[in-house]
Amino acid sequence: MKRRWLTGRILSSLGVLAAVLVLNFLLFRIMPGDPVSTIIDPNFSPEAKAHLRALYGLDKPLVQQFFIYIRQMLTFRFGLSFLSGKPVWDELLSRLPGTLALMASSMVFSSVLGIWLGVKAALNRGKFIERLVLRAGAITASFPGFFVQLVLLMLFAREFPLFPLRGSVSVPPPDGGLTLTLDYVWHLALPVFSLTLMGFGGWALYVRNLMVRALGEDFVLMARARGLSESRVVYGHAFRTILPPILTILLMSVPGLVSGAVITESVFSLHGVGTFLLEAVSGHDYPAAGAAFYLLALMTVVSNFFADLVYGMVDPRVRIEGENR
Amino acid sequence: MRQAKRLLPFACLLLCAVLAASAACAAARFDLQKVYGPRIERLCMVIITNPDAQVLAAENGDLDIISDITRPSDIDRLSSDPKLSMSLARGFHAFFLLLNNKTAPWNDKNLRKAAALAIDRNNIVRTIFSGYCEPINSWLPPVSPWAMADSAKNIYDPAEARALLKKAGYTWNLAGMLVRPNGQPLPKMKLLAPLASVAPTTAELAEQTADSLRAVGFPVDVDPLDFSAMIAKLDRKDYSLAVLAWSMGRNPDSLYSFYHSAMDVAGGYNMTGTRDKKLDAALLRLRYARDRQAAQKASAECQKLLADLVPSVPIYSRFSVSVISKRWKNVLTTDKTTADNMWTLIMAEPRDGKKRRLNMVLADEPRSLNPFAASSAYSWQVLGMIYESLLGTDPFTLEDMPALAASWSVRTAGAGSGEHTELVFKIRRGLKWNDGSPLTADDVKATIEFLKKNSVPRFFDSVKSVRSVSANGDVLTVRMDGVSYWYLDNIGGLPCFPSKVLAKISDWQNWNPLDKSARYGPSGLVGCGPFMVEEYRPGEYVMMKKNPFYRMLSNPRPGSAAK
Repeated sequence: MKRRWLTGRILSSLGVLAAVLVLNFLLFRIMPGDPVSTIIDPNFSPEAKAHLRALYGLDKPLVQQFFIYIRQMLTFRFGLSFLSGKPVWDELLSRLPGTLALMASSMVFSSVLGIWLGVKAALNRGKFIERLVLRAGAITASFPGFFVQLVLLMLFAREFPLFPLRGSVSVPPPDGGLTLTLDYVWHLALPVFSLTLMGFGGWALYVRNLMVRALGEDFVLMARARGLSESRVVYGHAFRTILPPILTILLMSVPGLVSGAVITESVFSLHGVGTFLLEAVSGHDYPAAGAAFYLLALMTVVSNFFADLVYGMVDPRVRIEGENR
Repeated sequence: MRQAKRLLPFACLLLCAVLAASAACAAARFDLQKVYGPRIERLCMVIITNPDAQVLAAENGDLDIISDITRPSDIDRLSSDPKLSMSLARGFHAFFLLLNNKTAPWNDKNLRKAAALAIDRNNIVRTIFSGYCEPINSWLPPVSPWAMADSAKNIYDPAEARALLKKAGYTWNLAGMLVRPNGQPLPKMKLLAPLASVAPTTAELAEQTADSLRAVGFPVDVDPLDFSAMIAKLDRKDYSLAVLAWSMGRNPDSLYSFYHSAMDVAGGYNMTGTRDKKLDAALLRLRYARDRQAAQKASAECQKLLADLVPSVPIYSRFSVSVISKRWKNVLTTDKTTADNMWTLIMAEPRDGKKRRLNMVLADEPRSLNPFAASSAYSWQVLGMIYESLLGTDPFTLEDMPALAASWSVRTAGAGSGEHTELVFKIRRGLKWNDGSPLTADDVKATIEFLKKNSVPRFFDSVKSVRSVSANGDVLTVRMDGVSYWYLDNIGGLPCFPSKVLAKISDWQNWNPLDKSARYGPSGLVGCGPFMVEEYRPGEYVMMKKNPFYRMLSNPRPGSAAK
C-alpha cells in the first residue's frame, strides 16, 4: 500500500512539474513584447534587432523553441541569459550562497523566536506578555518591508554606524578566513535582523492560536492530572500536536530560501536570486526566468512531497491508509 | 505641491549657481590633449542598487561620486551637505508625448499643434521635478550642438490652442469637450503611460498632461500599462496618445530613426507613424549629408519641418545631476558634462595630498564584461574605462576630438554611383595596450573587420556600411558604401581591441574575458583606456587600477591644477 501511495505521489508530482514546464514556456511567450522589442535606442536599427532575435533563437518556430527549452530544462543546461550573455547556471550559482545564507538564517531566527513567543503567549493568556506578543507581532508583521528596512538602514548604518550600508563584504574584503567570515556576518546582520523582525510576528500569532487550542484539549488535562511536569505537558504533549502544521509551513518556505527576497536584496544591495528573478521577468530573459521558475517549481514539489512523508513521522495519528498501526 | 513650491526658489538658485560655475569653468578651458593622468592608483566602482543607500553612503564619506541622481529630494538633501559638491548639466534625455499620426484626430496637424500649445511644461517642471529639468520645444535635446535656438522655450498658450481648434472648425459642448466640425463629439482617448509602481514620475506626468489636454477640450484619460505591453501597442500603432522618454545622441541623425517613413515598420522607432514626403526627403539629406555644412543645413531643415508637422510633442529634458566629495580636486564640470566624467577620473587628486582610492557608485550589477555581448549601461560604465575609441568627445563643446587618432579627414571618393565616403585616421604614435604591447593601426583594422564579420548586434549599424579597411603604417583608411557625414562618428566611436586577442576569440557570444580557463578565448580585458580591471566581485564592486601605459601618462605632469 505504501509503495502504491509513493508511486502515485511521485507520478502526481511529475505531472505538476510537466504542467509547470509547459506553462513556464507559454506564459513568457504570451506576455507582450520580447527581449528585443523593449530596446529603445535610435542607433539600434530594425535590421540589428532582427539579427539579435536570430542570435537568441527567437526567429525559430515556436514548436522548435519549445523542444529546445524542454531539452534544456531536463538536462539542466539552461543556456545563456539574454541579459548577461553568461550561462544561467553560473549566474544562479553565484547568487545562491548569499540568498541561502540570508533567507535560511532569517527563517531560522524568525521561526524559532516566533514559535517560542507564541508558546509563551499561549501559556500566559490574558497577561501582559500575551498582549505584548500579540501587539508586537501584529505591528511588525503589518509594516511594509522596505519601510522597516530603510528605517533600520538610516538608524544603524547612518546615524549610529554600527553596520555597513551595502553588500555582503567590505571593499576590499579582509584577508584571512576568520576575519572574512566575521566581515560577512557583520554585513548580513542588519538584513537578517530586519527579516527576523518582520517574520517572527506571523509565527508567534499562528503558534499562539494553535497552542491555545491544544492546551484546552482533554489530553492536556489528563497529562496534568497524571502529575507530569509543566514543561513535559507543554512541549511533550501539547506542542507535539501542533508540529504538523508548523512543519508544513516550514517545508513550504524552502522554495522561498532560493527565490530570495527582492526588496531586502534591493534595499541592502545584496547579490541574490530575488533581484535576478525580477530582472529576468521584466527583461523577458526567457532562459533565466524559465530556469529559475522551473527550479522553484521543482523545490516546491519536492518540499510538498517531503512534507507528506514527514507528517507520518511526527504525528502518529497520520498514517497512510492500510499501513500497519 | 506646497513643498514643491517651497523648493522651487532653492532649486532655481542651485541651478543658476551650478550653470554659472560650469560656464565659468567652460570659459577657463584648457588643452585637453595635455592633460596628465590618471593620477589615482585605484578606482573602485561600488555596486549599490538602492538610491537611498547611495545617498547615505555619500553622506558617510563611503562614496566619492554618485552619478545620475534623479530624485529631487536626493538632490536637495545632498546639495545641503557641506562635504559634497553638486554638479548639474543639460542631458540627452528628452521626454515626448507621442501622437498616433495615422488615426483621427491626430492625423490633423492643427490638432497636434493645439495639443502642443495646451501642455503647461513649466508647471510639470516645477511640480514634478522641483525645477531639475527644463521644458523643451525641440525634437533634439537643447544640449545638442545641433538643436534649434529657443529649444527650451515653454510654448504653453491655451488661448492660442483654442483659437487653432476653432479655426479648424471644432466647437465645444456643454461639458467643455471638443465637438468635430461634423457635429460629432470627439471620442474618449487613452493616453498610455507606464505603471505608477514602476515609473511614478512618468505616471504623474501623464496625469498632468491629460489634465492640460482636457482643459482645452480633448477627452483624454490615462491608461497605465506594463512597459512591455505599452511598447508592443506603440509598435503596432494600436494607440492614440502615449508618453515616452528617449535617450538621444548628440547628433541629429537619430531624427531619421524617429520620423522617416522607412522606419514606420515593425521594430522601427517611427512610433508616431509619421509619413511626410518633404520630411522624408530632408531626413534623407540629413542621413546622407556629404559634409558638416550639408548636415547642418539638413538638420535645421528637418527641425523646421518637424516644428510645422508636430508629429510628437516635446515636453521636457532632464538634467544630469551628480555629486562629488570635496575631498577631491581637479574636478571637471561644464554645462554639458557633470563631474562624474572621464576627465575628472583622469585628473582627480585628493585635496589633502594623501594617496586614496576614489570610490564611485555603480547603480547596478554590470552582469557581463564581454564587450561584444554587454548591453547594459552599467557594463559599459566599466568597459568605458578600459577601452578607447579613435575619437573622443570634447566635454566643453560635445564636438569630436582626438583620442587614439591624432587627426582625421573625411572625403568623398569615386564618382557617380560609385561615390563613397573615405575616412582617413592617423593613429597616434607610441600608443600601448594595458599589457604593454604596442597599439597600431592594424589593431583598429582588425577591430572593424571582427565586428563586421561577426555582425555583433551592438555595433552592427556602425560597421554594416564598411566596404574595406586598410592600414598603412600609422594611417588607417576606411572606405564606406555610399556617402554620409555620420560614418565618421560610426567608425570613430567604436571601442578598439587588440588584434592578438580578437584572433583568439573562438565564440564572441560566450567569451568571458574574466574566465581564466579561456574556453572561448583569452582571458583578461586588454584595452588602452585609463583604467584596467583588477578584481570584479559580482554584487560587490569592480576594483580598477591605473593603466600604467595610458597615453596621457606620457604628458608632462602640470604644476597647477586644471580648475
